Amino acid sequence: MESDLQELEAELRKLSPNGVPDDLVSRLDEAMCRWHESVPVEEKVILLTEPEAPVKESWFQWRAVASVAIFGAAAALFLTQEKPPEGQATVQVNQAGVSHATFTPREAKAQVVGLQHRGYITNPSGPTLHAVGVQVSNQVHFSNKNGDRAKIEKPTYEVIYVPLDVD
Amino acid sequence: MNLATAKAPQPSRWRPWLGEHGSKLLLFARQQTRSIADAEDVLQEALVKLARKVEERTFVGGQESWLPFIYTQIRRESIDLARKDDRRKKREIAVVDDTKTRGEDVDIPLFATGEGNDETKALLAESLKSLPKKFSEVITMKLWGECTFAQIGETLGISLNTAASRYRYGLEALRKHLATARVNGDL
Repeated sequence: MESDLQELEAELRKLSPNGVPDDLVSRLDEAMCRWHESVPVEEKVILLTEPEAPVKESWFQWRAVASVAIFGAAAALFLTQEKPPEGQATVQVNQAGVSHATFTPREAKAQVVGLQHRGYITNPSGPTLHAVGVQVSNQVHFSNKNGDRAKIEKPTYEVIYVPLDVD
Repeated sequence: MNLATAKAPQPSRWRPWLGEHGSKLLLFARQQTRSIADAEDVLQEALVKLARKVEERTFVGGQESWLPFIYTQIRRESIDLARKDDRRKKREIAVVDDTKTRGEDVDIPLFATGEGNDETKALLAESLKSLPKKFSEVITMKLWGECTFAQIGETLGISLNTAASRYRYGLEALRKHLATARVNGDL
């Protein structure tokens, strides 16, 4: 560094920051000692008592699981139709109302069946959030070649956060 | 038992450290904020975070790492506060002149006056205040915060070289300012 800059640096070093008043030091000291009484900003969130932890699953997963389950059930039915060896007792399987044809998903829909006010969340670095509990009924309809129909229904509950412009 | 003695707060483990570093931290906080009150609040928030981390034994590093941590926290808190303040001002601006409700900041000098050439010191302090913040904060941390360029870079989110460059540019700007003052006869 050039000598004149070094001189300036030395000159600046002679400046000493204004002292902190005793009462401010005491206040800061006390605040540090009582650190456990202050809640960190990131923890200033109202705890919501969830009725159950919502499990996020996609419709594709559901449809795949349902298809596999139905395929497995159909395969099991076919196997039980084989003629048993001589001398063995025939096992009667109750097949009432069950078709051998494979079910395929035809329709999937999700319908909001209930909304619930769950409170507000203050956020110093952002807008206040309105927590809304949303009850959804998810349904998948299946049918087979014979015109049989089946329906799987799974209700879900999620909490969504809507930003509010609050004065 | 003497009642007065019983009520007097006992100096904590933080007190000596605060006594040693409080002034430089407050100086930095004042540079980062818009008022003395804001600077004090921001400093307190940062210190409480330090205390929490140290007491909960989640602080990484020894006591030598406290200062860089506090500088980082002061900067973050100041940015957050400024954003909040801006949002609040936008809401209030149509209703009332904000500066009137808050009151103007009392002009307390950043540096202590004492022995030596007070005129030069005052001019230096004024020049420092007039510098762009990106230069003055580096100079403050380097000269009075005793931070290395690496620590400054980490705190400000810039590279070590950028921190060093800003320091040099800042000093050059100060030098020009002083030279102009000499020509104008202010010194």
